Amino acid sequence: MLPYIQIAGKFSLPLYGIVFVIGFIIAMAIARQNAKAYGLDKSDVIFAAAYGVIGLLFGAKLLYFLTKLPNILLHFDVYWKWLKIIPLDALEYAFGGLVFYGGLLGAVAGAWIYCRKYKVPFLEMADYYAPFIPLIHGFGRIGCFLAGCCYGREYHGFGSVQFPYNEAVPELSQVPRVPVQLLEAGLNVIMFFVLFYLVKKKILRSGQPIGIYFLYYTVIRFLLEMLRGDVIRGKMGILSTSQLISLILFPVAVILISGKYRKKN
Amino acid sequence: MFCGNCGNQVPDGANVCPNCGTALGVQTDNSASVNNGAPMNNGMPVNNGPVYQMPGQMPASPMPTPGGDSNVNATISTICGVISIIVAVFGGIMFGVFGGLLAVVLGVVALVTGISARKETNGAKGSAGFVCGILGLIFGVVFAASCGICGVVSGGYTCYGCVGGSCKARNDIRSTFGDGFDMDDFEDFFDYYY
Repeated sequence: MLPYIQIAGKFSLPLYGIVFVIGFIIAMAIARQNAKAYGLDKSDVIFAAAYGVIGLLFGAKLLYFLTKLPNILLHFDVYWKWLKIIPLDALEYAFGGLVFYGGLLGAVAGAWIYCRKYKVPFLEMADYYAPFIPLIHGFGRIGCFLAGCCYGREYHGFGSVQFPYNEAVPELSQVPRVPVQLLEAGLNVIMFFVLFYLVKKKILRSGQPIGIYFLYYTVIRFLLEMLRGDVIRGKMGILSTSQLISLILFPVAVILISGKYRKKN
Repeated sequence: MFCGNCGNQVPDGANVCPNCGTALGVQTDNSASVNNGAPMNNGMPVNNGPVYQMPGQMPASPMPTPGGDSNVNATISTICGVISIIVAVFGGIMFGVFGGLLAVVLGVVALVTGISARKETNGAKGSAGFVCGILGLIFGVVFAASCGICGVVSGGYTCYGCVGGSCKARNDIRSTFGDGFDMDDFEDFFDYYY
């Protein structure tokens, strides 16, 4: 919709990253403010998030690469020629994208590494961050809407969006589409308010906030994937990569909510 | 100071008890109760912030490691953080995705070493490097590496740079095949000269 804005007529500022960072800063400010009431150290909350961001970048990139890897290996001789002749393009094909689930799992791994290294209880940290993950993700999806990535399938009914021409994604503007990015952003923000309230009121048991988030997101992601019109995230048979990961994480969410993993005294 | 596990006296600044081998970052005995539950360091109370308590365990009280590692970490963090910001802004403008990637890598190093220095010194060192690392990482992602990271946002200076006609080749390929192209058809493009 608005991939970048011109500054002083010379410099193009990409809005995707800006919006994501704004969302991240807002989430961190709220998280830091409420940390003490939840029994966590303010600096631990920020540092765990820093490790989480590093993990997010690594994980999102890695999963994107893994979705491209089968095609690269299938045509490796062609890809190798491509890499030698136009290396930047070949690298952009392999690494030029993100997958949210890779980012989520990478962020969890990063935070886990921090908690293990500095002896902070990981599940308490994960439960505390459960509301903020959908908040940051919601902002990220707004960034997707502005950038024109992660777009929806062709749709002509009420609420359809006609994107302007985007040279990086030429097929985007060919037809009106489902505003799936805004749908997901809205659902994520709702989840933030619900989880924030539940965590603040201390209604839930250990592991349940993060379990509820996983349960909610795996279900809505599985359903929203059917409205997606971009195939670059990869397909595994009739399911997309994200739908497959949703199916794998759903039982993990159920286990977290049920508390079956907790040792009995 | 004394080992929280076996109670033997250990040298100041030691990380591991020479008698029982327990890591001295975690106290497991009642030594913390001498000063009303506050963690101790050479007889002086140390304010380490909130203490995390698992059921059945005594509070953990991380002991700061004086000098040495924390100074090195703080220095590395500051240097990498500052270079990260410079590379993100100028390198990103001039060299596109490579500048951004370098800024991200340096920002990550600055973050990790800055956090380590702050943890070791209870916040006395590492703050500058930590902040610079965050800024470098953010700038690297937003300004310079956005096109490389997201793959769809490019324009103006945030592109790959005109290296060997890459931009034109990329647009031509994309406009013909979109993103689901068959690699076998791609061989025709190797005859293009830009």
